[in-house]
Amino acid sequence: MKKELFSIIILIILLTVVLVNIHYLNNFTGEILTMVHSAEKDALAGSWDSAAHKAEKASKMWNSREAYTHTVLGHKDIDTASDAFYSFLEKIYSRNAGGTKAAAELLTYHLTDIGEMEKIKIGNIL
Amino acid sequence: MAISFIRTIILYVVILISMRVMGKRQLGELETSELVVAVLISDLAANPLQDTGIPLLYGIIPTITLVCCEILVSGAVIKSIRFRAIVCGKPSILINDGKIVQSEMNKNRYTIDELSEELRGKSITDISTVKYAILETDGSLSVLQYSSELPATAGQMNIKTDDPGYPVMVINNGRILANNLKLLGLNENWLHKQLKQHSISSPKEVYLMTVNHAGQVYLTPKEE
Repeated sequence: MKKELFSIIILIILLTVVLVNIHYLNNFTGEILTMVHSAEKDALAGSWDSAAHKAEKASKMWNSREAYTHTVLGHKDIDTASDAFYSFLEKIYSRNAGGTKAAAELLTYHLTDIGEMEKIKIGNIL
Repeated sequence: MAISFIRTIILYVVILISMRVMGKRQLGELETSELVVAVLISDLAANPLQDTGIPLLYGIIPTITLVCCEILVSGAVIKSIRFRAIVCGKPSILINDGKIVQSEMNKNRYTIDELSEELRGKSITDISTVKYAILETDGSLSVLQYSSELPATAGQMNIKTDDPGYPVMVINNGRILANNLKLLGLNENWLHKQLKQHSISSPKEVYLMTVNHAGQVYLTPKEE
């Protein structure tokens, strides 16, 4: 009976951990997305320095959680998002408004996808 | 992680049901739930090892989940006979009072050739000597022959026999097993005397030595 109880406790702990992870991951990607959108807005308004500052901050935040992301996310997904970050920064540095918008869209798509793929949804499960 | 957690539970249930539907013949010596865990764990463990781009947690979490599921299922199997019947199935009587139960044979997809093969494996060549043959839940076949076909035992013949007891290993590949010697109430002096009688100077020259409770010694020296 002890073993069974122990197993139930572990299953509950695992379920809790994965639910907390979903919440954390969504908050994390959400925070970065807010910064990216703000940077995009500034760029489109012509405030390139402010846009670059915000984009760099978002990129730093993404890279600062490398240990976490590499532990819980597929490395291919991380690399794709990182590439999108560099592309976004490149467009801002080159002051390319159209390119910045497109790069922001791509980065938004990848970050949203990372947050979405851990959510408990029929589509993800099946 | 949540997805791999849920997917693992779903896969576990799906494969468990699948193996039950497939029947006992697929199982070999494992019970259904054990086989599911064995198959899944080997694959789950292999994936993160083969692809370093997959976080190790993707292998660890499902494996822990599976083990927990297996413990719960095996616990429930012990507690509930009904649950055991659902998960492990029930033994099937393939030969009942000397008659082959064809419906059970078909149900378990057991051919007459396979039945004969299993019986031959138990040194039974004449199927008419079998009173009962039961296909157990782990896929093995238990056979009971007619009493007239069984060899007479010493008890039935009223013959008194000596019981030499269980032979205990005292030297294994040159090493003395002191605990086993103690268990038999013997010591190393006795052991050395026995070795001398066999013209052996050291236990290191012995590959295997066993002693039963009647004091009978079996000894195999090491090959040079």
